[in-house]
Amino acid sequence: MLMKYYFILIILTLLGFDSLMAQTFPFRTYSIEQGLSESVVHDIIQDSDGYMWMATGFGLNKFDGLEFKYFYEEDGLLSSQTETVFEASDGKIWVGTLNGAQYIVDDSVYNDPNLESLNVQTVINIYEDSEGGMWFATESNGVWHYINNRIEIYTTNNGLAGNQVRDISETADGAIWFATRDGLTQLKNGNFNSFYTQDGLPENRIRDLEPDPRNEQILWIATRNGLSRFDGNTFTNYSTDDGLINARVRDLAWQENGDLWLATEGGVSRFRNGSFFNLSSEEGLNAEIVYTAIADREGNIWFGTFGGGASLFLGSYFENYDTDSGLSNNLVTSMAEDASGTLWIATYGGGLISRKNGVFEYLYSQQGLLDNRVYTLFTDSKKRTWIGMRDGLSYMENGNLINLDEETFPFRKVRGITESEKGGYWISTYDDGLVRWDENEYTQFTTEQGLPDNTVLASVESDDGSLWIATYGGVARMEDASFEVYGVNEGVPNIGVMDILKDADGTIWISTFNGVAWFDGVQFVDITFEDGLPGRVGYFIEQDSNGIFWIGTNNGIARLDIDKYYSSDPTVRDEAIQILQSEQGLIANEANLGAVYEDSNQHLWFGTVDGVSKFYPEEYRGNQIPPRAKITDFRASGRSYTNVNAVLEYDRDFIQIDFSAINFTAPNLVTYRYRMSNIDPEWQYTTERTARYPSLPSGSYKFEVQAQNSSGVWSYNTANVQFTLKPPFWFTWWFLTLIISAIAGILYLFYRNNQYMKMVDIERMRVRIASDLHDDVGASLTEVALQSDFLQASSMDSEFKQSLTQIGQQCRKIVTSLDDIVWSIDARNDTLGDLTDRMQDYILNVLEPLQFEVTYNFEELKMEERIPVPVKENLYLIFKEAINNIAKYSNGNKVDVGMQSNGTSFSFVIHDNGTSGKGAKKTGQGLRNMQMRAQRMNGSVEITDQDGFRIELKGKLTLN
Amino acid sequence: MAIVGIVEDNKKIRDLIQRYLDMQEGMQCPVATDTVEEMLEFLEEHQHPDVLLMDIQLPGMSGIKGMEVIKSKYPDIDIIMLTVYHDSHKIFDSLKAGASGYLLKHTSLPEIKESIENLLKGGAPMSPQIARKVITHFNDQAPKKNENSMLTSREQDIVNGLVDGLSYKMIADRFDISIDTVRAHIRNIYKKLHVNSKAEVIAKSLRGEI
Repeated sequence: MLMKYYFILIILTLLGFDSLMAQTFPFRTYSIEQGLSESVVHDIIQDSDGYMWMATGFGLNKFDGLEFKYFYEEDGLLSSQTETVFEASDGKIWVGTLNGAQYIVDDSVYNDPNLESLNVQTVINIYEDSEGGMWFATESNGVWHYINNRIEIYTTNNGLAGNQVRDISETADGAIWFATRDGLTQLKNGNFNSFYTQDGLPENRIRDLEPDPRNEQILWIATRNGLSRFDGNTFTNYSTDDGLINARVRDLAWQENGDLWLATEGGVSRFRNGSFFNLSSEEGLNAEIVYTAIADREGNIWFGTFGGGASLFLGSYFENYDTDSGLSNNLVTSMAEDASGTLWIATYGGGLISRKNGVFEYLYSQQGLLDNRVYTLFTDSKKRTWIGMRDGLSYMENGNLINLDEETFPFRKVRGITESEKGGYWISTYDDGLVRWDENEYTQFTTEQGLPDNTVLASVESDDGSLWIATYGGVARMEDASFEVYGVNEGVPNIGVMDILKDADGTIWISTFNGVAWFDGVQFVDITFEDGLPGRVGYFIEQDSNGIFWIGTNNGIARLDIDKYYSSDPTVRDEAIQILQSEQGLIANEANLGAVYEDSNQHLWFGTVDGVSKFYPEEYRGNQIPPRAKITDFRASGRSYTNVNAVLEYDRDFIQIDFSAINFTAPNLVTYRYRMSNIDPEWQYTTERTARYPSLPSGSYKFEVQAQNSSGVWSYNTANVQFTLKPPFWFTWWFLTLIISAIAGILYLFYRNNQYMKMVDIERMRVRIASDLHDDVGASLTEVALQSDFLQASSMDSEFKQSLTQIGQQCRKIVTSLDDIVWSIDARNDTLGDLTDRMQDYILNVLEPLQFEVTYNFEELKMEERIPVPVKENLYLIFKEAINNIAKYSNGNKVDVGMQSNGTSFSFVIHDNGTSGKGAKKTGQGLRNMQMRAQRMNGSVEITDQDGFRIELKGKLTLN
Repeated sequence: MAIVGIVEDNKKIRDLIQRYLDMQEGMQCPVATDTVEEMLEFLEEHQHPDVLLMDIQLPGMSGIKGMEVIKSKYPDIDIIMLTVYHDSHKIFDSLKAGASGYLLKHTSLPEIKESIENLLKGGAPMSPQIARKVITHFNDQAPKKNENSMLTSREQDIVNGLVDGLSYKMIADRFDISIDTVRAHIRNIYKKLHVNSKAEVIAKSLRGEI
């Protein structure tokens, strides 16, 4: 017999503190930290190739979404202070600077000799009229008209309203308009005509002019006192009273959809259908004063700011909320609207938050909530909103909060609540399996009844009345209290199933620790990371009212258009999965389990570990603009080539090609595919921006690359590079030599016989042979050495043990010599620093255990200085010989090692204080070796034995 | 009981090291794979080893990349890099990827065992070559000024000492600290190197460099 003990609380009177909500919008900042040359941006344009150009107070920037290229005075600019940038119809990029105007073609800066007289003027705007005439607006000397190699200067003397001209524009009637500091001037049919406040302008200080793209007779005017529209007869003015964010309007920009954006000295406004939508630093803009605005071709708006660099507005399709904007906790687990249409946000640790009319209200445990750790919310057909918490179950009804006590409902960790068609509820619990709850009674289903696992996250009733259950042991289907289990064998990609959904067609979908899957009637068909989801873990899956699926992963949200996904047309298929990540404005990439909701206005809410994002599907158009693929660097064995069809020597066979794409919406989500003719049979897909081909065989090659943006649209263009690798003339006998050398296994072969090989690239060959020997022989010797160690570990008689020790030592000695040789002829270790480091290492190993005190005198060396391989090799081997001699024969305890160099020649000294070991041994093989090596590097060696044993080596740091 | 894992594609070397370590008291080597991928699979389902010996040149994922992956998932595992060459460039790359030390492959079995024990006791080896690279690395980082990831002056002293060719003992004497303290400092330098390199990677990716 169950007793009903409900705690009823009147929540309307108990709700916590109100807080005015301030959501943020997705802005991306490009300022000094991101590579922009300066944080004050005067002007931005996008050129016809897609690059963004930004004129800043110090330097002109060219930006492809990933990398900045800079232009300063040292690159030929008349001044590094750039004011404006403009692309003319012939493709020239004009830049206006503190000291005149110039143009850029193919990244080179050019001066137009006819414009030299302009160099004393500050050029603040540049324009090309429909007849090809160039106009240069100056800060104090009117406007300069340049056509047919002639210049005309117009100032107030000619009828211009002011001599400081801020902008130039043209309307469809062929009139040229000038925005001056003292009024608006029109040039029509050779006559100047000016407009002032008395004519209806709100201010005489005019900043920008933009003809209306829908009707180019109409001119929109940015003034220091609001926005004005001129239709040829009258001015219509818009001020802060109409909702404009700030009266001081700096710049205007039209967006393709007909929105007009206004950059002002106090944020930005969007003007649409007569009303303003405002964004300031509170909404995420990174500065208050905005100098310039421009729409790029992908539909994003760029703002050039004073002190905040460029701010890229990715669109108003995301609105973000976190603790900074009023949430009580950032772990957002669930959302639901209650009967009155108020949206409730559940957090894990911060209780519930309701949001109505832009105000947050809070419901915490202090107000009677069972637990601040809320997992799930669900509003049923009886208008009750259920709350599943770590510590139990409650619901809200008519403003009352009703907590179910432990006797009524004894289960904790409520992860999911659904309503049954037949009445009653299905409650998913984390530890106690599935519970059927019929108001007063419960029935529990656990592994004992046939559930695959007692951790149940969600359930859904299918059209045939059976219940589908997501558990950590796979999917279960319950029909008449009997269970059928679907696991990996039935196509479930991972048995950790977190969310379950019945779509509009009645198909069952699941999201798991390894992507999502749908049930085809017999088994599950998966869609995973490998198929294009941005992350492996599928935290939730939801279908919106337009039929689009939304999948929350550990690495962003995927928008899945299932019809496109199963399209036979590959280009359509490519656009089926679109990725939304923090780069496009999502608040965080890690979604929460089940945290997705479509509200009654058909807006989507995505709960993440760092807050919640509200998504406006109607504002989101995806990114239909294809990125533009380009090759950024072509290197052969480390050297860059810029020429077309480069012909390379055989040994430049390590090819590395860097590529990228021009894309601004999500430059880091661009995918590439490339192929090298004769090498790659198919396109190779990558998200990296480099392709490497080590040791390419000789031949002619063409490398091609294409790029795909985050919405799946492929570039129209294919960037390519072509080159030819010459065949090596010595190929066959090189191979033969390698075999013979390897078989002989005698390193002396190439030390003794090097005259024979001098004609070929000796260093390279040595490295190869030595490395190969080292790898093969070295590995075998290492095996032997380890084997001997291993055997020694067992018990055996000491004589036997001793030989084993010797075998091990001998093997290691050979490996060490091999290592030294490989090192000494490896061209990467070619600085004095590398050499002296290696020497110190050697001494550390050889002399340190013998208690020698070693003093180094390398202070005067330039450690970065390069030394030729033969010098390094011979010097090092002489050094080794000397150190070995000391280790073997010296009875001293001090060693000095020193080296000096003046850049062309050097001297190297090793000196020990030993007194023994003079005589026969030192004149033996070791010393002869040293002499021989010294000769090889065209040096001399001098050996003396006063006050110990001293070796001085002199030579040149150059080869000749 | 120290648990050791091995990733090495030369079967003979791998087996020898595994068998030897398994025979040692206080050591256990339950897993030796020839690729990083297999090791990752093992780690998902079993108790983690305390120490991993890892080759650099491996089929599939390289040892350096593998180190990054393993370190990011299981930061507690100490990784010792096994290398054929005494190649300071590769060694340094692996240290940046999170290795706590390195061993040449022909190092004798008792020495391998000793190195593992030293590592577990908190020691880590650093040669002059590596020390010099450490200095250059941190100097390059200096303008970015992340206090937590820069070297302390004592750490700087120790690296400078190593570049001068001093032994751990001599460094300890010079600064009047114990050899174990020197080891602990070096261990910490490796950690910073790893943290620093991670920060570098993030910064680079923000700038779109990678």
